[in-house]
Amino acid sequence: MSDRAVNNIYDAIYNENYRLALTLSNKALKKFHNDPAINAMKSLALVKLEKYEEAEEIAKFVMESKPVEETILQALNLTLKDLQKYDEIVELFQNAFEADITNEEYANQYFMAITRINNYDLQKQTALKLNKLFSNSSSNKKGKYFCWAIMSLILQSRYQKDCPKALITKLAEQMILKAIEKDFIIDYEGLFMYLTILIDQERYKEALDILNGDLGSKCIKIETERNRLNIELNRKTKQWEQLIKVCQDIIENNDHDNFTCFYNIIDALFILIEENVLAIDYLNNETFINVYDWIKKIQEEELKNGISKIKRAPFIAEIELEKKIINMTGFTMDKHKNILIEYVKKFGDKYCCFEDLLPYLEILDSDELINDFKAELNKLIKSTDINVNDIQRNVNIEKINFYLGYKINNEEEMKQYVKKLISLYEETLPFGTKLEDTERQFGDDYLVIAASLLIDYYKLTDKTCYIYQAIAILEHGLEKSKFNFQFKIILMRLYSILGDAFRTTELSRSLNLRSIQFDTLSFLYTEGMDSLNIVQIPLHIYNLCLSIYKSNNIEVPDVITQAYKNETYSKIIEILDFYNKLNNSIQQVLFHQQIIRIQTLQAFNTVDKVNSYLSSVDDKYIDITEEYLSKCTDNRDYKVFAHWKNEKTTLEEKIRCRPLKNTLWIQLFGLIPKILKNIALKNIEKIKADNEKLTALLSKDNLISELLPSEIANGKIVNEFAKFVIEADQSKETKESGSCDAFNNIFEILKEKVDSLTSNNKLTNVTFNIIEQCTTMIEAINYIVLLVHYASNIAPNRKSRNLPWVINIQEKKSQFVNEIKKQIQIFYDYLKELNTLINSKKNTGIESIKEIFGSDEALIDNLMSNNKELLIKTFDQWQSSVSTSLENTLKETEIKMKLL
Amino acid sequence: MASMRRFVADDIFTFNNVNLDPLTETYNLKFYFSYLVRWPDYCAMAESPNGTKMGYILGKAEGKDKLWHGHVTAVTVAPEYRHIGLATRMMKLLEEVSEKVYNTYFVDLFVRVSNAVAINMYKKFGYSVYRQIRNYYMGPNEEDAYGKISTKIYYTNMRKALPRDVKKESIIPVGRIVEADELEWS
Ligand SMILES: CC(C)(COP(=O)(O)OP(=O)(O)OC[C@H]1O[C@@H](n2cnc3c(N)ncnc32)[C@H](O)[C@@H]1OP(=O)(O)O)[C@@H](O)C(=O)NCCC(=O)NCCS
Repeated sequence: MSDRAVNNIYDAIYNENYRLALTLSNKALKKFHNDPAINAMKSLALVKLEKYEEAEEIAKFVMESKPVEETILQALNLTLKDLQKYDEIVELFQNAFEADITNEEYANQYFMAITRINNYDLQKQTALKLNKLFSNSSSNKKGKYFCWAIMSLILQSRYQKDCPKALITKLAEQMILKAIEKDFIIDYEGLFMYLTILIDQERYKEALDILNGDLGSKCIKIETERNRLNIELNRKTKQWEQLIKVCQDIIENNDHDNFTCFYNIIDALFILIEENVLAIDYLNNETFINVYDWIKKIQEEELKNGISKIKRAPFIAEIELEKKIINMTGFTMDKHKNILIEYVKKFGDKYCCFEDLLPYLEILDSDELINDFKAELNKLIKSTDINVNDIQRNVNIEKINFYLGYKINNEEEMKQYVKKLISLYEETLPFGTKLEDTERQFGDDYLVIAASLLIDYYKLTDKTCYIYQAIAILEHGLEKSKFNFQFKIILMRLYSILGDAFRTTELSRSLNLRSIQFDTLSFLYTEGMDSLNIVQIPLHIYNLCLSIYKSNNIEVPDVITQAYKNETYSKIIEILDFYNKLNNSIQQVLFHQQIIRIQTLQAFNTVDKVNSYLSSVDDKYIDITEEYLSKCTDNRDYKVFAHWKNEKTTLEEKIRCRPLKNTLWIQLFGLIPKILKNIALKNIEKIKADNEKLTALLSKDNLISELLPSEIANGKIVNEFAKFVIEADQSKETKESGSCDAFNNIFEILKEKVDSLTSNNKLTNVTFNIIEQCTTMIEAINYIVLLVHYASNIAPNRKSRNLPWVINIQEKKSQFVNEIKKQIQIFYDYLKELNTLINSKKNTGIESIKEIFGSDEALIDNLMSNNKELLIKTFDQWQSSVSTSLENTLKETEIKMKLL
Repeated sequence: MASMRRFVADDIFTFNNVNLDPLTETYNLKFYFSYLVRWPDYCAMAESPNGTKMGYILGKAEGKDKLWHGHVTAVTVAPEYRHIGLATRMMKLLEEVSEKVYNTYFVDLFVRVSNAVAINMYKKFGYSVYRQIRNYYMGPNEEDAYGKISTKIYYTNMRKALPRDVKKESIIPVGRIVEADELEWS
């Protein structure tokens, strides 16, 4: 018997020793020829060793024997899951189930396998089959299988294209009524299905009645859940008066802080006003008066609670109401300024006071009102004999001032303001000595404002000294508040602007990002990293981040099967949508393309090597189809950045080192490797099709919203290269006269690149922009090397080498190479000079800082006590990161000069 | 000033301002989803009027017989929304679910001994120390948050009896330090 052998292999796999498992399998197979259990284990070991083809072959072989044994089924299940062969898993368990239709476990597994393949009709049929076969089993006591069938119908009507939606929903409804009759619907999850079926048919009123009827009260035990559904359905049925009533009841029932209810009341009120009376007349409207008085009444009740316990919602509600009135009438009055002031008086000592008021500060629409408001606001600032609450209020007032806009006329005034903010910050520090490590200092936000002011001046003047100063200030804050993530994310972006990959990476590590944050937050620090010619760091990060998409594929469908088992139907649609949103994330494509971009650079030691790399690139992530573009999602979380200013451009947008990568970027960086790949494979038809797409893409006028000029230029080089290849293949003219524009056009593009780069030769200008241009220059040179290589081998065969057009092209090519070499030499000299300059600044400390600050030298010593040391540290780190980038580029340029 | 609702799968994309806090773990997807699909009513999110995530709570029900109890797995509030009673509201909800939906005897939780803010808060909510636990491992970046690998992390296990535990038996303190592997569940 092979049992013992199988157990040993299983143990090895369990202990993640896959090599051993493979060796044991091979050994055992010699003894037990073709044993399916051993083969199944072997395929699992192979898949874990990433030997996918062999694993699949063996798995399929085992499947032919239609196995029914538990061990074999489970091993194959795991193998096929890793291979993403979901149809095969269905087949596997279908066989097992059909071999023994009394086996409820296999029947369950069969159903679960189907849930992964989006075949809702089959899913429904199978559920009904289970319901029939196992109607009396203990796990079907509450009609589980029947409910699975209902859920399958709900999914079918939602997700399956071209299905008779109305019919399917009707059927689902009939079935749910039957389920209710049989007492299968007993909790929130069952009720959810019923409500969903009604809502999908827009029968909101009925849904509402069910919710508030016997079934609803039986199924929903938690008040907040009933309330939420009540509000949602009352809105959908447009029963505004009813909505007001429901929300008032909720609030009066010991929930004074429920802003959502207040918001719904006010919203409903104004819908009623718009429907019924003239806008001017609102003051005489009975409903309006009632609601207004009622809000006042709730406020009164709160005021009795004593100042520290007052709930905020009734007061924000009044402001919301006034805002609506202003929107309707267009008049802002003194009164409006006053309610804002009152709010700050009451709640200014809560951190969130500023966030509460953010949506309402814009109601102050004239300079006069704003000035009066500010004057009164600033009277609330307390500067002597203060406590923590006063500090909190002062910080909020500062943030409101910042939002409304400071009057700053020149750089000098800006510096004074920054100085003031820093000293305000320093004054708060003594109050925070007892705070836990993990907490923030009370005055941290002063520093964020100070950094924002400096960033604005950087945007205005393009002087990097302001970036340095902003960095110094935030690093200073970070010494005291080690975990303030706002500091960290702004810092990462500032370092990225300087082109410093080292400190950016260090900070990103300290944020401990993991799991979903690889998708939602990695853009904070990875956007420019593929352009710095620092290979290992980004490759490591991208590969790490990609693990989230694998988890999504492996873990999430399993969880959906769990939802069926636990009968938590409300989660199935939710999690399915989550799965798709993550699976279609643009960030996933970006990681893959950035990896391909860097690996192409890396492979470029010889033409053969790079061609073989390009040929191996999977089309999956470079073939960006219309279909993908229509469904791709952007899950990046821009909102984590402080956006405290009343401006369209957010802080996040201001501190990007490059335009944000989006669909244009992924199209270009899909087409470049794809075209090069097909040139390497000599697949002219594909080159033609893709080059048409590239031409169309390059003629779009919004390219610079996502792409750097250097990237666009490289796209054009590849475009010319592809044209050359296509013409050489078939153009009669080319074949007769050897005419080709590619050489001239590419030379012009490269020369322009070299000219624009070499005009920057000062230390103060070296930022991401320069390093990025150096890296893209190497890429451009690489494409040219490929072109030259292609042109050298243009003759279709030995005999044709002496044809006039071939000779003609060879001559033009030689001229081209000569000219290009001169340009590369200029670039090389420039690089060398820049690198020498930067290396000579190593450990020169304050000297270099002074050079960067130039006429703004005052900023060096003046602002904070340890300003100078922080600036020097920032510079030293930058120096080492940038010189690594430049040295890599230098080395590669040398190699390319030899290849030409 | 928050609206409380069920935690939904989509929240995972946008809870960053809460999760970037050093004391709040970001777990793998399976972790969140296995809570959502098993105890959907125990997971709640508090949202501000403009949709910003303010904080959330994750919990579960487990244990046998008289140890049948509700458990607080995570409760966390974004820094800008602290001190306004959010944790209070979320804990109340969890207790309500434990009592009304799951009919448990008590609610319990684990908190790092060093997290004084949280321990005091729980005391205020009526929780008392049941026992101390050594070497309990909660999440993937336990060490990282403090920049060092510590092998002996102490947790305090706190409990609060619910009406079903009429005699309040469940909260009588153990009175000694317990090793993590002695726990009846984890
Ligand atoms: C602990 C935490 C959840 C508190 O949230 P919160 O919404 O601010 O708490 P509440 O406003 O409801 O406060 C409830 C009570 O806890 C106490 N408390 C909360 N924060 C406190 C602090 N920083 N210092 C002292 N006491 C505090 C107070 O007694 C408060 O009651 P009071 O306002 O009537 O005085 C929050 O600080 C947090 O998310 N921390 C990080 C994550 C964490 O540690 N979670 C617990 C892991 S087990």
